[in-house]
Amino acid sequence: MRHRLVIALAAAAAALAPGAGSATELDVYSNTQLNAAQQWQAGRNTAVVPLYEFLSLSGRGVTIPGGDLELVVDIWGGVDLASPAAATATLPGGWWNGYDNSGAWSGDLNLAYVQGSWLGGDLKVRLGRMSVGYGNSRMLQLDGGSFTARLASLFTLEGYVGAPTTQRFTAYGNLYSANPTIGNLAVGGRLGFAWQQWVTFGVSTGLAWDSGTATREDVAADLKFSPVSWAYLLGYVDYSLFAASYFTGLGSQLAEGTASAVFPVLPHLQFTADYSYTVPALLLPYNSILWVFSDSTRQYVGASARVGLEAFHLKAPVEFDLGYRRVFEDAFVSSATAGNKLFLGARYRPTAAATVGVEGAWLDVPSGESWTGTASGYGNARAFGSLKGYGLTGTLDFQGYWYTQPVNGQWSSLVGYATLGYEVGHGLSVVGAVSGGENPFFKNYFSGLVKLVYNQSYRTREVY
Amino acid sequence: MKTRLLIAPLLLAAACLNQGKRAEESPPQPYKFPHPTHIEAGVACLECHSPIPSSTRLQPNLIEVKLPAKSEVCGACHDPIPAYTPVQRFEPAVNFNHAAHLPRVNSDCTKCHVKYTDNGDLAKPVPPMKACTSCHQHSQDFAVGRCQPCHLDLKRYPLKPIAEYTHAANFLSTHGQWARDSIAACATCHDQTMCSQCHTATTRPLPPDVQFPEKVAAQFIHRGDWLSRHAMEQQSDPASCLKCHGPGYCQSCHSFQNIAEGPNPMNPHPGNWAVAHGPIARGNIASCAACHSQPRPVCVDCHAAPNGVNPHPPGWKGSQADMTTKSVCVVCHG
Repeated sequence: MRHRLVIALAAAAAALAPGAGSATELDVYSNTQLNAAQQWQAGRNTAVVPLYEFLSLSGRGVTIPGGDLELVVDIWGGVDLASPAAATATLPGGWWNGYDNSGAWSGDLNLAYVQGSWLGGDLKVRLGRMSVGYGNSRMLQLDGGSFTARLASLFTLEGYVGAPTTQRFTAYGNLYSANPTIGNLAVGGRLGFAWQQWVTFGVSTGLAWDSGTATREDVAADLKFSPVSWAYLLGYVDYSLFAASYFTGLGSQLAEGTASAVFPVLPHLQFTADYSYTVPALLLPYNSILWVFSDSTRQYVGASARVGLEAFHLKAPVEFDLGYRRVFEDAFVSSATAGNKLFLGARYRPTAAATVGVEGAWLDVPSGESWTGTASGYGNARAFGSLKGYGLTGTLDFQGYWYTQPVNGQWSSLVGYATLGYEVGHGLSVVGAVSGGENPFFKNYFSGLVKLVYNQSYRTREVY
Repeated sequence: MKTRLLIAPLLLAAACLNQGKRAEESPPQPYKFPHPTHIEAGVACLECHSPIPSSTRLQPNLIEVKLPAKSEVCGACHDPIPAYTPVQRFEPAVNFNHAAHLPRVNSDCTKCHVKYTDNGDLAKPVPPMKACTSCHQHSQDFAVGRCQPCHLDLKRYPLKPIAEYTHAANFLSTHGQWARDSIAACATCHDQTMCSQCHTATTRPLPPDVQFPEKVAAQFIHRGDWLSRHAMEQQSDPASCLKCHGPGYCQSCHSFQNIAEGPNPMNPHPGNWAVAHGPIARGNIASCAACHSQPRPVCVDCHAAPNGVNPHPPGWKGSQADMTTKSVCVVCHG
């Protein structure tokens, strides 16, 4: 772990060091944050007081032969000031979201890559720790390389190769990796075709192996069709080559499929209808034998809308959100195994400095009984607001949940949040926050944080 | 390692600040050519910018100038003709094809170029965006985030509040579909540092709603009492969990930290589980994987061949060869 960390940071520092060129734009974000909260650890309620430092650097426009370079680093470190958590046999280092660690200190790299861009941006090569989001890569967090090449204005070829990132640099291919793509080698890419604004079409593949054993073997196709400028049709299917060896029915080989119609009529008026199909077991790593037990599917049909009164030339700065989704387990259009998910919201912005909003949500899961044998749904109500003035920003947020069946013997939970921030100037701000409430797992709980944020951009090139 | 973890970010920050200082120490060279005077004198733009009609793209630090034979044009007014070398300082902010656009404006450059550099100017005026939107339907492009192929990089500008932008309705749940074929368009405005606030669940220590409680208007997926409702959300859409969190992520709490209650804190299942688990496991195996993943899950104790209960679903077609060669099959059939 240490070697990889040092190499990544050294590469980042070298790219930014004097002599490597002149970075014309630099975005710096630093968040120093002290939290105090309660956590359930090893069978007891424990106070934790972690101090974090989150640091993001993004430098663009570093001139290199024939092109330019971009560097992005997103890193964090932390120390628990209260109590290195109670060690257990399975977790000797305690805390840090459950992952084993050698003591009170921890840290990790979220991103650390350099990207070279040539031919006016038609060719981009990226090396380091990155996220890959095109095609069927599922926003894979990767240690390796990727490239994007635009060909003849119509085609785009993208590819990646590397090791799926693991937490704390310790567990490539390990059972306890938090990365949904498990393994020590992942390869994939997408070939896309775009014809003006009308059609984009692409085929992609995602492959991964854990010490030679396949953990993912998928191919996919995506389509976007825009017959008019205010309507978009989007489609996607992901086919499991691996499952094709074990299941006879096509439905058991399709890991995922979606179809959406999006109508962005106006900036404040948009309608969406969507359908999706998933086989959750096929999103498990294929070297887990659990996926061979299941042929369960989920299907979703839904619609949503955002309606802003400004779209109708009304002066009232109010926006409404509405979303509904019908959830089917295994059988489509079967009320016996169907659930519902509903969201309603309204926001009122009387001035640019003030926002108030109310939201409501409802969920009842298909099949009724969950794996814990407890709740099968909930209702939620929320009210929030924020106000700025004199350099201060204050927010309040209250949320209540009511469960259709008791969770740990409780029918409801209530949580509240309050924050107060002050803009010191020169990119510096201070934020304090407290939250508290009760839920089925904590009769009463209270937590707080104080953070110092530095968010500044250095722009040293001429802005036309 | 701890020391290096602390020192490395400080070095990086110092390097960044140093970059800024170096650039500020060298002010840009002013433009020298008095464009307004020449235009008022009736000199056609293409007399000097003769390569423009065949130029198909803007290029960094290249002003398309080819000075005419001075005796023909310059000499009509200048005697002697002053020496002049164009300042080649230009950073394109958009993709633009002059060759394609000039015929549409009858080679009248002033249709778009309403201001020009004068002698001593440090900044180079570029055509206002309304020159583009007089023909291009920018509002629709803006509405769907279709910045490319026109804009090269919009990160330099402050992002407008999200309410002003049509990342609307259920954008949170559909943005992956938009990004699937056009993540380059996302990158026009957003660095991966923004994506990483949610999408680096493997390495990040805090969910975004805990790190940013002051962002009450943001659509954080885990906001509120997520702890109490996460099992319901998982059952409703297990695939969505698996796109960000590997099975080990769940296991870190469910198993390692003894989250569950009851006589055995590591066993969250109700009393009749041995009888009732079959249909539930068949329906939501992803929740089983939260604790019982590889390499030898507890399921094997009862389901392993040859005497165990066959767990395979209808339509299963695993072969005899697989049972001896595929590692996943060998767990039960080996």
